[in-house]
Amino acid sequence: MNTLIAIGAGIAVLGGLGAGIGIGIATGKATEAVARQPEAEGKISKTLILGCALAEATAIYGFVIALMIIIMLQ
Amino acid sequence: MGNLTESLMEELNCETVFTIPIFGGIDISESVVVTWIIMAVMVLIAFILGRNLRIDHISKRQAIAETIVTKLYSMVEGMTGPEGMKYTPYLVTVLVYIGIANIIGLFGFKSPTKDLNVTAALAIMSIILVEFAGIYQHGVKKWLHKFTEPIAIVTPINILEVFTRPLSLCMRLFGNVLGSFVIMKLIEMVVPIFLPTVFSLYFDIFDGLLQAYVFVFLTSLYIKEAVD
Amino acid sequence: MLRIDINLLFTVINLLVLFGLMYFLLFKPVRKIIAQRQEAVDQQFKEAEDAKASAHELEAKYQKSMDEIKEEKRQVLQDASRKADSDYHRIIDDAKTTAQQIKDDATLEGENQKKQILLKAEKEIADMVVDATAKVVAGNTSTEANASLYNKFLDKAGDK
Repeated sequence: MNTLIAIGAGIAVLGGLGAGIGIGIATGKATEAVARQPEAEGKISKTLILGCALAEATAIYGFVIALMIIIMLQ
Repeated sequence: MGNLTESLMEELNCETVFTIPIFGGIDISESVVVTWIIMAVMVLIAFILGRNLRIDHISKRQAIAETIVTKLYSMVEGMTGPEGMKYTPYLVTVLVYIGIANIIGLFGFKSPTKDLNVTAALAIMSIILVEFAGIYQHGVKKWLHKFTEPIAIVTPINILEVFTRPLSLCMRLFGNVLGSFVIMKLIEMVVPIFLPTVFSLYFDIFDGLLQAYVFVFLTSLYIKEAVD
Repeated sequence: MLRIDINLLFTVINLLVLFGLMYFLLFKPVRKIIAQRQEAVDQQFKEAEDAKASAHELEAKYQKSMDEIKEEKRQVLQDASRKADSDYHRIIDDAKTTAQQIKDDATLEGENQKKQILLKAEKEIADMVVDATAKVVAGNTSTEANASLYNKFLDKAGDK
């Protein structure tokens, strides 16, 4: 049983993949934007941080679900 | 490892601090008590700052108060837009509250935002405020009609959104605080000296304040959309 | 951690109370004072603007009166110069008249004197003639004596 729970939690945490890819793309685009328009750096980094915080939510959901699986099913 | 699980569980659990002996006993959890402490601090500061205001020859205290209020207001008003400006005081209060709640772990208290009750309450209040803003701005008829926009077929999704929005707000805040807390605990287990300080700068202070900002940002975004 | 219970309600009440207290203790007074200051500043700006406008008005008024004074001055100067001119002319004319008078008087006087002198001379001549005649009549009537007498007489008359 415990093994299955661990596997389930692990699969739930896989949701972090999406967040990683999303933040990677966002950061890449932000770098391009800064390279193109260095004077707008402040605005771009602010938007980037906000976007990252929003994209991170997916990973956080995965984490919460994994934690729930572990705690609820134990 | 068992030790880790045990202490983690203990930290994560919100204990009941005391029980009010009416209606068969009402449990008051730790998060509510910590919220009271935060409230006391905030109200005390607000009381000290908001006293004896004058128009000219202002004191240093008043200058600080005006700077804080103006900065917070301009921060939130930039997000809600002109129509949603009347909801700014609530959003500012929530912003300050969540910000303090997220970093109060540094002072030895247990963050209230680590309790699902608190984040759920915040999210529910947010969605009530958003829907109220929509009704107040457009009237019930137009507010109901907004669910069928842009086309009628998306109505179920729009109705679903009313429930998914607070859920996502609640879970985002809760998960972030919990996640950073767990990671901090793990780091403390592995390297007890120096490294936790560096990481707590990011996880506790930066991430905590950022999540407070994100919460208010999303709420004001919803309000802006609702009053549009 | 993962339980939803009555504490949710407590949190809602807590937040509402916190919002109310924050609003009435800090946000509302500070916003009010800022609005009041804004109003006061606006008021002052308006007053300054008004003062400026009235100053401009006053300046225009002064300018106008200055112009008037200048005009008056010019008028007065013109009048004075005209008067002076006319005075000058009058005085000159007077002077001329007086001079003419004096000249005429002088001429008259001169002529009178001349006449008198002539009269006197005539009288003297007549006397001399009488004298000479008497002498001629009284003395020897030689040609020489006549001639010398003649000469003498002519000399005397020529002296006159």
